[in-house]
Amino acid sequence: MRLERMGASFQTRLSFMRQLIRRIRREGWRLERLCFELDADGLGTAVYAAHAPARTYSLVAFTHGIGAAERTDRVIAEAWDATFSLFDGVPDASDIERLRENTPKQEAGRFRTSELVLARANKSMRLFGHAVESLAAGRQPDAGRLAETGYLMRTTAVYGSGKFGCADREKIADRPEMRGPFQAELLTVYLIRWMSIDLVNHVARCRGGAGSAALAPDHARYLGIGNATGLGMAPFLIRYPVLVNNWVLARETALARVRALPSAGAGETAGFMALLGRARRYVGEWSVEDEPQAARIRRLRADLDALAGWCPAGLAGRYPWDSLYRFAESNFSLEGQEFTVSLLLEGHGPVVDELGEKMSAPVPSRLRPEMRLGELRRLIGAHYAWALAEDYTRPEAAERFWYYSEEKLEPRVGNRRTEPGAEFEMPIAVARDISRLNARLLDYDDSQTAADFLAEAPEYRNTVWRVQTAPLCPYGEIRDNLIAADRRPLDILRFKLAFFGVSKFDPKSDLWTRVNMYQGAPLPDEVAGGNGEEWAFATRPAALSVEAGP
Amino acid sequence: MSAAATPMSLNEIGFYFTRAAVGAGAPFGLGEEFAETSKWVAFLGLDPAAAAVPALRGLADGGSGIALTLRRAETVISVESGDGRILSAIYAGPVVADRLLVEAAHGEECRLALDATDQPLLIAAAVASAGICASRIAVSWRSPNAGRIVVELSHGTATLTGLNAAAIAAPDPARVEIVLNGAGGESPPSSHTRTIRPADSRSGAAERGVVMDGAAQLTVYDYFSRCLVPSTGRSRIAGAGAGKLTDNC
Repeated sequence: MRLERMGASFQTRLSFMRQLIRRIRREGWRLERLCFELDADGLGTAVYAAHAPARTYSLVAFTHGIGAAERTDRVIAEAWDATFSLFDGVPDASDIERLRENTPKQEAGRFRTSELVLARANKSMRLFGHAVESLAAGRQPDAGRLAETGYLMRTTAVYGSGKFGCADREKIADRPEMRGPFQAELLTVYLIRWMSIDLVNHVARCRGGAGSAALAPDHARYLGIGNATGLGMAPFLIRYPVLVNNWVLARETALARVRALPSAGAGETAGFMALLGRARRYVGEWSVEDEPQAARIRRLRADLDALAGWCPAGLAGRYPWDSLYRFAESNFSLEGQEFTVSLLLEGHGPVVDELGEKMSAPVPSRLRPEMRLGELRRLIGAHYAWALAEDYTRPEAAERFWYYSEEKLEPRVGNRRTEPGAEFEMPIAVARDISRLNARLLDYDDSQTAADFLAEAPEYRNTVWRVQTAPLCPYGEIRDNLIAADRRPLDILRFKLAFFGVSKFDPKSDLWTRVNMYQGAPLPDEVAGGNGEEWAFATRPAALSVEAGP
Repeated sequence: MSAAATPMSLNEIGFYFTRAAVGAGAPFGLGEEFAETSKWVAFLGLDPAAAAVPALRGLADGGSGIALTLRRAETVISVESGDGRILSAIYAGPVVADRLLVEAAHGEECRLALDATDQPLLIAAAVASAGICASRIAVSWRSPNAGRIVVELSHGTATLTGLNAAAIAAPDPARVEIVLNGAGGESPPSSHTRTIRPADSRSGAAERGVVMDGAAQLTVYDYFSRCLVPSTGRSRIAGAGAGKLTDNC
């Protein structure tokens, strides 16, 4: 995996949101609003329940009035428009009271293992107020403004896996509905999206009374939940190479299966062309301020135009999907190639979807102290030649260091030459550390064991483990020097977010991006009714269409 | 002992204890082992924070040494201090566990003897956490207050003899003996013996969290805080989401 390609990733039908919605639909989960005690300004408490076949999960939501100056996407924020806990089961009154004391405090609160996720969100001030005003006056929000933002609220953190006393992943990992990666977190976000729609309708109704309108279903469906994501995601990908490998392996296996299909029937071809048409409209509606990303989107549009021209003749031959892939690989930008993979997988659920079950990871493998250093050296040569090629004494090759700030533990990136704290950097400098290990091993004999070596050089312990793990996970390593001056953390974020299933990447710097989650996903009554299986590449509903894109 | 703190999740033990060790001076990889070992202290039914503090303190203040030497004499492997100081359990625990894993692969009896170490319980927990395939492992040491202490691991159970809160929170540096696949190191007759199934404790920890002494937990957090980098005006503009307020959209 190279950063440049990771930074061109798109969601696929294997993405974790897509898996969750398919499961809810397939298993007929019942989605229920249990409590909605909000005042006319939309402040109060709400509880939403997702009844899975064997268990119920409840979103407990608290909404707050905050000042504009307090509304920031950053980890260091202290107040939010809404705060949430995902409760394992149905909370009783005492649970809700306890959460009312803690959930609004977020990181400063304290939670129990009955809580699975902690999250918060802010309103999109650009859209929320306008939507309330419009609906209160009995009309739908302005098409352009709705499409420009795409969500009413934006989450700024979604914490799971034992954070702040919440339940460990281990508690729920064996449950079928939670076995996949991040399913509790993404269920939380889906329920938040529901609440955000209820919230805007409620406030509009309180203001407009009988003359007010509710968001039309196609308008509501087009609204997702925004998310602002920064550096915190990157260390996760470094820490869990086997897990990341399994994500990519599932995707690559799916792609190989599709490419191996010998032919495409007329219906299949027509279906793909319809999908491509929708995808082109979607890309046509994707607009960002960031000029580098805007240029990439323009090139992507051109790639998809070329694909549309290639398809009528290209798909008529043998192994049409393989031919299509090869055409993209030879002619498209990286974004064009990755988008093509997304398209190829999208139309082939029967050979793709079951691979979603393989995207989790078992307990991490342990260090193997009995390994001979000769073997360790061989593994370095076989799997990390790319890391050994760099000269890390060049200042620009090791300029950055990642760390936790004392300010609310916010992840930050510093300049090694000019800022303090490099001695406490996060262990993400894999390439440099492998290079150092390789040099240190020169002092040892091939017949010695890793145990011998680590007794004298314990600072290499996690690096030795990493090398030993490499043969188990060919897709587990980012094959780039992550601390070089010119690397973009954003590329790592996009890769992970694509596996989550987000859309509309909107970079705000090299360090963070805004995205949209669940845009186009079926609404709760639709998905619970078994409808809305396909929702990738959400385009503006007909009533909102404007002249844009192809 | 102070009042119990709110239970910590295993994930939190992983996050805070890893970095507490780093804050005390250990490299990150040993910090991760220390955190895993601390979870196993909990799986043995004991307080991981209380056990951690003496080892963190010894490492941070230099009372404990990190240089060690391994010597083999027939069937006994000695782990000796390289500089005359008592051994840091944060450093010695993984070395001992590694060595036992290597020896266990041969399936033969083996004995290890460690020079005095600052927290013997962490040596036992490091051995327990390593998942060593052996019919029996006995880790023992002597405490002036508690007498002979033994942690015996066999077939998915752990038998603990002589351990009490004082022996955990304020351990006297002690030599540790380990017997792998052999006789010896048996538990002395004691009313302070209990048998635990760590797998059950682990499930319980995932279900309910891990309760630990409040003051000890705060001390762990103090060491953790040492590896946080002070915030500056410049670093503030390099954080996630830096420079943007949401009121523009």
